[in-house]
Amino acid sequence: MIDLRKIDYATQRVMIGKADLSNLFKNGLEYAPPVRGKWNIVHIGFLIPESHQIFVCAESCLRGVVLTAHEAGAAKRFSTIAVEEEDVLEGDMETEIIEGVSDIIKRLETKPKAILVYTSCIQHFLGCDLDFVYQELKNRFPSIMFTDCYMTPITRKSGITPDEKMRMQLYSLIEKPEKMDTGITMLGNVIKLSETSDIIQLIKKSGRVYRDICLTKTWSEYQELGLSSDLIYIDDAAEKGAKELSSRLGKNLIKLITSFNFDQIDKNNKKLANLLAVEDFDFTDVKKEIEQKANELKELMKEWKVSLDYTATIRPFSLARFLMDHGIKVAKIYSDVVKSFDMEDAEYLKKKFPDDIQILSPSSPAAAFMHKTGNNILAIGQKAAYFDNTPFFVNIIDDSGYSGYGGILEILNLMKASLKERKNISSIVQVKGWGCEG
Amino acid sequence: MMNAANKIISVYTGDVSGVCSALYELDGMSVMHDASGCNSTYNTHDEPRWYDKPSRVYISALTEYDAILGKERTLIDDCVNAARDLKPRFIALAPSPIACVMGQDIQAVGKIIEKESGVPVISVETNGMHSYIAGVSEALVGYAKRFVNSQLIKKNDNLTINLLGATPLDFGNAENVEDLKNSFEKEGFYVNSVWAMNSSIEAIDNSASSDVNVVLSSTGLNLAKYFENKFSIPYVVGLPWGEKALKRLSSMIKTATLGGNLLNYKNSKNGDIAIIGEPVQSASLSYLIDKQSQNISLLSKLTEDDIYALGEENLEESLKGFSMVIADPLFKPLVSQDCNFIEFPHFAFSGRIYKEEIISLADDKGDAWLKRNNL
Repeated sequence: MIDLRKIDYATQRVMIGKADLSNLFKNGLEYAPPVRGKWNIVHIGFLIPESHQIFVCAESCLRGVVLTAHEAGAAKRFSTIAVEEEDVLEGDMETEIIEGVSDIIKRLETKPKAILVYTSCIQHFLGCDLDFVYQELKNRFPSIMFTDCYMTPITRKSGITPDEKMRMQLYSLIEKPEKMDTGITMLGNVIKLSETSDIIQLIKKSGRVYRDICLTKTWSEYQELGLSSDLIYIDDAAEKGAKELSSRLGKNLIKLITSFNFDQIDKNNKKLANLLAVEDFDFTDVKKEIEQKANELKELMKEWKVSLDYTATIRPFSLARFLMDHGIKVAKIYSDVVKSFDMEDAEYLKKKFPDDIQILSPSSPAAAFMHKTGNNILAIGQKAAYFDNTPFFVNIIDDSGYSGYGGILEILNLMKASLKERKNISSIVQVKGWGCEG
Repeated sequence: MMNAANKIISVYTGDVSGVCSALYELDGMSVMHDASGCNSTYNTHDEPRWYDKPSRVYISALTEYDAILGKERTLIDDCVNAARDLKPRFIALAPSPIACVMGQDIQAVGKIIEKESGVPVISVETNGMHSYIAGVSEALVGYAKRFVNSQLIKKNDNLTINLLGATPLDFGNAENVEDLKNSFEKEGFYVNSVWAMNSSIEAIDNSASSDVNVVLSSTGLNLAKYFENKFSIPYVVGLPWGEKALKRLSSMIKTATLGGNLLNYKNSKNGDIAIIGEPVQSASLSYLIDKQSQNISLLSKLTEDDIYALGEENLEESLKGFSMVIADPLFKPLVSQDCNFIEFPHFAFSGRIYKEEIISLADDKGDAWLKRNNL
């Protein structure tokens, strides 16, 4: 039995006023809580309709991804090739991949339109010639498209991250169309935008076609993503992939980065409205509604505090700033880092509320013993719900498609509803890839 | 035929997770030496205790730069710092495929960490390319070498036994292991320790005082051999699944005290029932069923009669001609539709998907399971 009195939490938490925002916590051993809502590279790959995934890695690395596929009910779209000691010693990794993929394709009852071959850290350290591998596979199976995907967590802190790379490869199979139309294609989202989001409202007003990989069900719908004249993205993790696609297809690209700041939202909406040539847009009513709802929540939450985490939204500090400015007390933010695009909001909070908000590292070793019940805590996000052991939580992942003023209103509504609803924490937060059905 | 290519079936838990699972309840700190995020496989799919029972299991968050530059100092410092904050009894190191490719000397690293932290270190030679059986085995033996001494503190006048090789990977949950323990106690044995679930650390460390070891799974076999060599404790292999097996094991334990190791086993090369799984469980299931059956495993062989299948296609071929297959549900796609398939979930294969359906077959529960399945 572990004596919890001996655990030292000092290196795991800091008041925002004393935090070095560009270097919140020291690197070291890492813990992972039993909270699994965020999508991984398997879930994201399944967004390509009629595709099949093949992972090539050591058995211990395969285990997590193969069971991700089974849990998502998509085992038939997923295969594996285990790298064994002999492959490492004999240096025939290229043959292993080519023959393994060929063998699997021959045994598939239905031939997929595309195959995503995921290689791992080990191939990269062994200097495996992946260009040769993919060329040979294309020669052997000309009717199938192949793309290179990566499970290389070792690169998480150097260069392009696996998440960014996955969101890039997601669109790598889109062929350049002969013609284009006036449609708008959203890039990098894994959860479709809510109908109430400003982006959807504005595009509807313009009468232009809206496309998103989350809405595609067939290979041809996937290819139609390339028909749109304009590409947009709202998540910073999509930026590299979005730039690559716009450059390859020769498309206009617009960044509408998610924010909870009214000025930024106005800028985004104006930028999109200009693109769409929509002049009569007006979000005054929804802004008023937001103010009313925030006031209502402030009254309801006099005895409550909010804890939120980086999995709920890509802008945890922006959301915290919005709530604090509206009198809703945020006590904790669970995040290991402040991302560059969220830094301005973090600095604002540091200056204005130095002693009100604590930042906690969800991955530091002591976090393993942080699962403690707090009273009157409304959590936003699964990790916050787990760590504070509170059944009162807003279950959203990466903003869950809530964007702009419409998104803020939806989140405020969810907060209000969550104050009254006791959710079963363990049965919700342990589900991998919330909302993904392979 | 590509032995390493699986079109549809799952893979078994790897050796790195096996180390963490084996040592989970022993108040140590297990460190997977691998990239950030790789611990999620263990936490999500290999460790059912993760939500309710905290333990010190971490990832070293190996980076590309540290790997290329061979910066072992990062791992050493991180372990020493964490040990200072968390006060573990020991530190276990379980290296990944990348550490293997780097040729990292994990024994030397372990010695430096031990010297700088003052905490005993168990360095296990994993590489992510072997199954959990290797990881659990090595971790348990590594722990025994550091913490089990030969002081003979007799706890009980009854014949005293240790149960070796109990992890959730093979038995799903603590209740199923408790059932096994209760079965032996019902037969009059004093169960000193269970390696390594539901036992006090004091009992585990005092295992050398027992008369006989009972090996519950392949993961406990090397530990039994270590105890035999080091402390002259004989062992028997088998699970008390069904009353008949319990009685037989009980008799074997008594016989073993006279010297020699015994295996409770039944297998027939010409059987028309195939059992796929962990070899000791399959052997025990064969004994429980008491019909012509054939044990097949992707893991290892317990005896020469077992079939060791190399990969999915090979396994599919091996299953042809059987009228009944008993196996984890994730093997079902390999079985023909006219074959009677009896689901027997194994956590080390299907993880948490069928967690609630992993049942105890201890003692008369095994006989009840036979009846339910008309066997």
